[in-house]
Amino acid sequence: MNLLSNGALLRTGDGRAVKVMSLLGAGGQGEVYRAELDGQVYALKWYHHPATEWQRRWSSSQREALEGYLLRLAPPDPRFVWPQAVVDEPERRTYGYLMELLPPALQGLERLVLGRMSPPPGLRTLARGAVGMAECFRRLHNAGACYKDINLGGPLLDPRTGAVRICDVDNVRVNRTPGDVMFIYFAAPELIRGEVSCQTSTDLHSLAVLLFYMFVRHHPLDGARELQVNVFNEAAQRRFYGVEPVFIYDPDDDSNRPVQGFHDPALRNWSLYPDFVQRAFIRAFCEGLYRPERRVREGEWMEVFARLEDVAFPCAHCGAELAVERLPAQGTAPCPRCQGRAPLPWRLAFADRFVFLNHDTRLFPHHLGRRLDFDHPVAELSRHPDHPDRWGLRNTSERTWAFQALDGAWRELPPGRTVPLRDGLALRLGDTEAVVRAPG
Amino acid sequence: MSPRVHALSVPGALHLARGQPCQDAAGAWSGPGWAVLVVADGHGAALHPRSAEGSALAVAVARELLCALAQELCADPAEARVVEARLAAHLPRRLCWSWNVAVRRHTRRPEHGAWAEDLTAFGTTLIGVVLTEALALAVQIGDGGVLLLDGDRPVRPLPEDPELGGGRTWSLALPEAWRNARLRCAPRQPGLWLACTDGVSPTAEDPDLERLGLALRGELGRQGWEGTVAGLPGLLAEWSRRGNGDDASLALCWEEPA
Repeated sequence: MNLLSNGALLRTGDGRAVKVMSLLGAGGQGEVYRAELDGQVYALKWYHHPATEWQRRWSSSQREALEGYLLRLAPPDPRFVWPQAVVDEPERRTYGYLMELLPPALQGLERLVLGRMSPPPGLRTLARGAVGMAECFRRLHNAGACYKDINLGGPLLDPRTGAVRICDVDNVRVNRTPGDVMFIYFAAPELIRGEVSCQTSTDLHSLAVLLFYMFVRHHPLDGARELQVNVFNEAAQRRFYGVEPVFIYDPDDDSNRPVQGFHDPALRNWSLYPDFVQRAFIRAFCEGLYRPERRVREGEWMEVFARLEDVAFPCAHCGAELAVERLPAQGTAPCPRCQGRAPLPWRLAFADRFVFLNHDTRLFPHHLGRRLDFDHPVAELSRHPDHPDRWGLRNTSERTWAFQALDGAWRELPPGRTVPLRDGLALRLGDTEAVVRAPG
Repeated sequence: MSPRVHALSVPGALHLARGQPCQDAAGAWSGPGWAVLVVADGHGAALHPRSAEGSALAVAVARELLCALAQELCADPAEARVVEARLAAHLPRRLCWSWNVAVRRHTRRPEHGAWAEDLTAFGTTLIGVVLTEALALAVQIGDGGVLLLDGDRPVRPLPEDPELGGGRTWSLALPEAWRNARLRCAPRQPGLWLACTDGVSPTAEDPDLERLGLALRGELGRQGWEGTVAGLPGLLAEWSRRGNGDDASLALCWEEPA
């Protein structure tokens, strides 16, 4: 039976009427309803009735955090689905809060891990989503807060665009606020051992677990040792995630490798990623397990996954996306799905890296020297309106760029204009130079 | 908590008419402060000629893992949401892995838990319910249902699976079958707990299970535990005749009102 009936009338703290419309979903902390306030539709998170002393204490501190902290703090990034008002029922058995009602295109990451996200996001979309998530947490941490309980249920992804939103913001607290975490398997080892309170560095471990789940679809510490216990109890959890954590792909310790039949997603997916992605995860789950200061920072994840998006492209034979760290000499790369040789696309070569020019490639200030700036694209691939086989690079920035014409002279490329792609086309994109290269 | 538990499987009306054996299996166990209910429905179609063995193995595997879990939860109680978060990723995977191993052991082949085509012959669903003083945990792969009768109020502890229905079901014999598991843990409500295969309740939204629950609740009031249990084979056979004709399995746990 639902906690609230459709049509029930509730009140915000300042006395405005909130009408419950329908149940949207349920989770560990309570239920989420569609609700109406002042003619606008919101999502209403409604907590379970506290039944035990522990739950009553939790409920009370949760309300204090909502009213005393979260509702007074501006969202550090608009992608956080921030609480907007506390809501009460006449009986005062429990309470809830209003937040933005999100479009159904956004889907939870549990669906991704279970292979049920529809449509299944491609590698580049996932990478874009990962950059967005890392950026949200970077801004949250820069505001002196921590999310505390990062898990698969918080972030939502649009599998068509890679757009992200972060829900369940009611767990956000000031750094080092004491309190329990619910998703122990996301928690930093020192948190499980009871040595510290939640803070940015513990969030960084949880963020790494979240990203590993997104790309490998498995927990980074769940390997062969899981089969040593019959019941996955608190002691096993403490040992595997807190006291003796071992990364399943630790290059120096093979005691916890994934087991065929038990950890198939890890076995299937880990090898798909270029070395620079694997190196980041190895640092996060080897050094980073024991030395919080060595954890991969949000900005580093943004660099890693922005680069992953840059070097990924669809296989011309089967459509699966693959990524390469270095350019193969023969102009093709082995496709892990169809096992064929996937021809490389054209690329934009910078001094120290390259970006494949896929049909939807966009460049950001990040690519032009303003590290980690992904707010507004400055260039995009565009197709000639009358000749769909001809492609160009459109300047979507507010600055005038330059390109080298066939006669060798430099010509201006003002905002909104497109230069046709050709092998060897040299570009001056502000202070950055790049050359368009054909495959091979 | 001093629960009374019972489990039974009866051949379905269609199976009897065709001379097929019962391919379901069920079990119920209890100890101080805990109870475990398990039912499994062997698929029975031509693709699954050994599904009766598959369902029996599923019940045996679930018994070992869930009884150990129940005792663990009694010895080391935790909040329901903590238990759910802890077990959601592990328990379904472990049940599937252990069933794969058990099938191989049963067929005297090298034991490992990796999926292979030959498991298909043993295809079965699985439902398990763990009850302690404080918690109720239910895990389900495939069709069938779990029901709590809290007084006369029927409660479905597991969410519906929109992909089931019309005879479609998930199976332990599918690759990575754990992906299709539903698992919930909540504070335990006292009352009559039922787990059943689709011979009783084909889908979660099917009202049959609720009608059966209410009927049993009435029987318990009139005849007490012993009398109700004695009448279950006939009741289930009748239920199968009136329903889809499939084998019917039921595991139940009942706590006499204080």
